[in-house]
Amino acid sequence: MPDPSALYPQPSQAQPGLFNQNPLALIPAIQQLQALGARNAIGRATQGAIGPGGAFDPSAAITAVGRDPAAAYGAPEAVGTLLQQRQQQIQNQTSQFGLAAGQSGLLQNFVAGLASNPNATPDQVRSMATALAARTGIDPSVVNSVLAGMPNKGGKAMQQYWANISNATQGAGATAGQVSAGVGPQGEQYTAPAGAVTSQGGTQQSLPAGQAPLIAASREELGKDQSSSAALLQGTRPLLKALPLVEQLSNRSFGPQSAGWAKLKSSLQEAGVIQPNTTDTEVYQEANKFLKQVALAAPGATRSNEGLETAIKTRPDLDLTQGANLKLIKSQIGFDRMDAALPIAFKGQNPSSAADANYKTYKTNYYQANDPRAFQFDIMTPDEKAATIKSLGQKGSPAFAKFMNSLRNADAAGVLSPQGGSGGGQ
Amino acid sequence: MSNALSAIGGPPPAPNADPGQQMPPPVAGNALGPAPAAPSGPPAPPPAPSHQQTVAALRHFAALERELTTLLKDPDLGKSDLKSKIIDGTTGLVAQGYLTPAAAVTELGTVPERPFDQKKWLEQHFVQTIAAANQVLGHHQAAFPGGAPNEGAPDMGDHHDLMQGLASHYQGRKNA
Repeated sequence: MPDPSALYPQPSQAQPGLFNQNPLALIPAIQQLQALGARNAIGRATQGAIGPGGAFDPSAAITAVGRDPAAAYGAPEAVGTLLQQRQQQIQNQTSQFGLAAGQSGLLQNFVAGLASNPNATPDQVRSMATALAARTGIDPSVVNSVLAGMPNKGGKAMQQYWANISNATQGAGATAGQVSAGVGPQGEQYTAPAGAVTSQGGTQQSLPAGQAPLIAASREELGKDQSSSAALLQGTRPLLKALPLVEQLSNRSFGPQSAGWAKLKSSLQEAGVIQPNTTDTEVYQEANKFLKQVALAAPGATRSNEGLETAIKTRPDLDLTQGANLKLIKSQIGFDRMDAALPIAFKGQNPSSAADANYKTYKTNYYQANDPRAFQFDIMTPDEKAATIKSLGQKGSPAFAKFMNSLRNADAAGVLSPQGGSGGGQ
Repeated sequence: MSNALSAIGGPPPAPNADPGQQMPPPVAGNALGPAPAAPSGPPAPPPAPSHQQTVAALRHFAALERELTTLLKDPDLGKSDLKSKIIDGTTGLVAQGYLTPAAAVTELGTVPERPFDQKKWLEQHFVQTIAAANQVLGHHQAAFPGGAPNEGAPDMGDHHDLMQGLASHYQGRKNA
């Protein structure tokens, strides 16, 4: 028989509630809830860091995670993951930059070739650009944007256009950084990278790769030439002082018993060249010895004109008091003055320190652009002056212009004797 | 002003930067013509313009771009009727051999009357011309990775033939 009590409602059984369990057993559940909340918060932060174009900004996501307390539980892992993503993005961007730089280099070589070709036609350029694009896979829009501004015809405009593009592709260091850097020996304009200009404190600015050593070498050479300039000018003084004496000695009508003999002898005594008791026959020998000494006393460095030095060293018996050898002395003076005038003329025309970077170029052109005879013009005799002028040809000829330009340079550098000659013309 | 390729025959479909993928239907006056019909068969082979065809296309688009740029720089653009200037520009392109007279007449028929619409028309053509140049070059790159045989710069006398040949690549896509 069934139990009659079963017909009555059974008393409710006590269900095992959360709070009836061991509290430690709740921890995993709480952790799950926290993790879920944190993941939601991190998800929101990540969503918020995705731009309208689909670009993901890990830095923005990290910031959002840091600001949301709900994300705290999962923040360490989330930040680690986001940092990895940011690192990956940086690597990708670096690779992209490298790719762009490579393409830019290719394009630069391409346009540099065009800039140097005066006969390039627009269709030839397009043909080359098409071939380049197919071979390299450069973005067509990059190629077309370069071609877009190209002149419709070849010739100078085309060449100029590609020269400009070439400059532009070389970057700011080569173009935007170009500043006026003075003028050359013939008045031509120079430019130099802005980085070549030292600041007031003398700090070297950053320079395009490869430029710095050239500029430093140019500056070093200028400093060296400036130092030797004064020594060279100083060295010409004994020669200039001796020149009138030599001219007198070389005069065949000049000698013992002649009118100027006593004057010459006293001058040599004053200069310490001869002793008061020197006999007349010894005067020539002593004077010659003196001239050799001053001629060989090359100040600072080896003379630019080695003719005199070589002549003296190879021929110990060389008599500098002979008229023919006077020209050697005068040439020596001219060349020494020309060397001495170089840094002076350069700084006179290019006072800016930016121009120092172009000194080597200036120096290269200086010797071609100047006539050394102009630097000895004041010590020439009237006959020599006339012969020199005659050799220049007509007024306005290139040789005449070069000579006059050299004369101006010599005058501006202050290397010519103010009175128009120490010995010339005497 | 002409469609970029309309001057060389039937307007081809707009090429895509990614061959094989269709562009959204272009608006009227697309530089490369109307959109192709919905693909019903196997996908068309990607256009493969040759070196000379590509160079001719770049020359063609450059000429159009020059004329369009001149018109877009006009201070009266959008304010007064520029139709006579557009006609002049188109005539110049015909004279230089870029457009056929028939294509020029057809194209001039699409020029709107209102100045503001003319501005939009010109801007649209300008954008489409640039896009067309990029796409043709892109197709050439994709078709000849590593470079096509360089046949040199094409002669202007062959311009129409080359452009017809170029159009056939896109015509083929349309028919496919």
